Amino acid sequence: MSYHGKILRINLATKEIKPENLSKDLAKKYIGGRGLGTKIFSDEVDPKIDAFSPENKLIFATGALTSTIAPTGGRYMVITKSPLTGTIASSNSGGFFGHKLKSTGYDVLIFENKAEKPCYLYIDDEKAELRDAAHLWGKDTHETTDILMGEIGEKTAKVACIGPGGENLSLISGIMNDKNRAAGRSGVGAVMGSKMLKAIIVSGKHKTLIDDKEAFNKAVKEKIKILKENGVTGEGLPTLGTKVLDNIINSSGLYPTRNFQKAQFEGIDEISGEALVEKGYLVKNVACYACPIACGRLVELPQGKIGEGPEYEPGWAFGALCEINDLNAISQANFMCNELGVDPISVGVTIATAMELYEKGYIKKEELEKGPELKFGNSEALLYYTKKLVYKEGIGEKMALGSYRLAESYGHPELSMTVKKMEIPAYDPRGVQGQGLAYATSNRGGCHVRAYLIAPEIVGAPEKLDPQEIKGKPEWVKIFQDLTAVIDSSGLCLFTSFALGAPDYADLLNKATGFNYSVDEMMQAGERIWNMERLFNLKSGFTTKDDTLPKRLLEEPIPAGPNKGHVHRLGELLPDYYKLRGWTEDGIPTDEKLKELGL
Amino acid sequence: MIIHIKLFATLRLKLGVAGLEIETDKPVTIMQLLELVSQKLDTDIIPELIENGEIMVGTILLINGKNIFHADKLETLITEECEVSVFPPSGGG
Repeated sequence: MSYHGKILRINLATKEIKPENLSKDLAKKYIGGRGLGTKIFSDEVDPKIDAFSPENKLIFATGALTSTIAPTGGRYMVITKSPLTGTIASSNSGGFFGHKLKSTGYDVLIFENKAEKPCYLYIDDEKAELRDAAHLWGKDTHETTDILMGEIGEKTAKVACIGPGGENLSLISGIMNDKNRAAGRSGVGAVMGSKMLKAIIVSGKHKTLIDDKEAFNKAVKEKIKILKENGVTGEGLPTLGTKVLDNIINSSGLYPTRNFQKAQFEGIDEISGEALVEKGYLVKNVACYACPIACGRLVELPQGKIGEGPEYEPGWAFGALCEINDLNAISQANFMCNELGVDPISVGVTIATAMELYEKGYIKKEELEKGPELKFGNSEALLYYTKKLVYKEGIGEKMALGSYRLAESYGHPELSMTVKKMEIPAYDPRGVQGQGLAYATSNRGGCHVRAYLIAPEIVGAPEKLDPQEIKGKPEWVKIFQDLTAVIDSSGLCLFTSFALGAPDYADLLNKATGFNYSVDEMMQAGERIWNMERLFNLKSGFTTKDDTLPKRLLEEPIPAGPNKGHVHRLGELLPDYYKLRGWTEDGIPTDEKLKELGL
Repeated sequence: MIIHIKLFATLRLKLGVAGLEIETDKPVTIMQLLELVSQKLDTDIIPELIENGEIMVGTILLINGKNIFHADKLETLITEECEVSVFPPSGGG
């Protein structure tokens, strides 16, 4: 099987580090990564705890195909209770850290308790040690990575760390690895900060064992060929990266603008993916471990600043959502988020929320303490308030808690475009009914990568669905949620699903693990993971009332463009979705369903 | 009538053309329009978008923001001035 069969448990308070065995049966039932990590977490952590309490745990889990030659097989998942949402948090990242983490000989790391002083974990081929990180505390993610690499002196080592965002417990902070790759969402960086764990540096030479190497290598070659020949993964994403979407989504009339007050942005030509290339900012593509797509962007700005991004989401959050058409300022804000370790989607949405609160007169000018005006279109606001938020200075103290708590503190939570207090990404649900249902029912709140319905509803993969049609959408959402849970648990990138289907994933998993899943069994494992996350959230106090969208998206029609007049029709979709999931009208999995899934 | 065509993604970068206009005195289908665009650009853009007479997976063709896939696909008729957006298979985020 493609696991080392080893878990490492690290008690940050007592400094005890203990290897444990990973059960093969558990690995088969929950695949790996997100599934396996969530199973361990759910078994060990009371859902009602405070996310910053020592009782919360922080799990780093590699997937069944992480550190194999499977295309994009380098990903890992961070699982914890989110301080932003109160739901289960699982945040996924690429780069090379996941591959190297598994090369240490451990499949999963479990951090328990809290350290008294800043520390970091160093693992070199199964040998693990907690070290003092006083000299790293306060440093940004790039400095931290460089210092640790210098200290260790092993060129192939890889670092995951938090920046000042996580240290200062910003609820919208992430964990950065390889400097610019992020387990960005759900505030997982703040949990790491609360445990005084600054970084993890990993090095090792353990190879992942493959059950049937010859057959696996052949299957990998076939899948790479499919990815290379597919227009999306073979040409579109490599050439323009994720920002290829700017014009697609804007032209289709669902590009959230001015804090979701509009759905098209007049300044699009200045900030689109095409503009990034045409302005000469793009230096080259960047690929994660074993990735044949290479959607990452290395960018050099005219003033000489080099960084990665902006990707589609940050480019939109700092751009159209704040009505800013300055690609240079947007790129700098994205770079700053990477360096300071905060989630650019949530930061951009929070700034846009602040802009609406300011323009409506709820935030007073005096509160800005002579800072740039929080007006839509003011590019000076981006860097200034991103920094204020990270260091919790002035109004930044409220902004560090994310959009919902900011709007709520002024008595206007309805101005926050969030689901379960997590900021909604760059697709207006009023223009994509399936994606809206996926947002409302996502187990980690406003998120597009728990079920990316944009693929069928807008891009047309695997087939084109009418974005305004509601018939059949609950079925599509369920299939996408379950399959995404499988992909996340395998350690592969969701982008492979533009070209690969469920049988391809089963093929790769079977040849690597020897588990011999049928496609149905594999999809049932995905459904099991989804329900397990749901159970955690229900036990922590969530109800059907939380499976919703902001009032604006349910009641205020899009004012202009191709989707003029549309709202999101959640009320018509949700009951069918619950029924299809085998849940009660209150969104609770029935006993029959739990029995069927072995939960 | 004038049809305003906007080209995006790899098509725009390859051709170095962001937009053009086609003037016609009679209604045209999207397929006919793509042939007219190819003639005007002196480059056959159809293989970038269509395979065996079908819209390729990932190709997006919009008339005023509405996807022709949900109208009459390549036979969708253009009868009045409009904006047509052309995306070869692109991607996601």
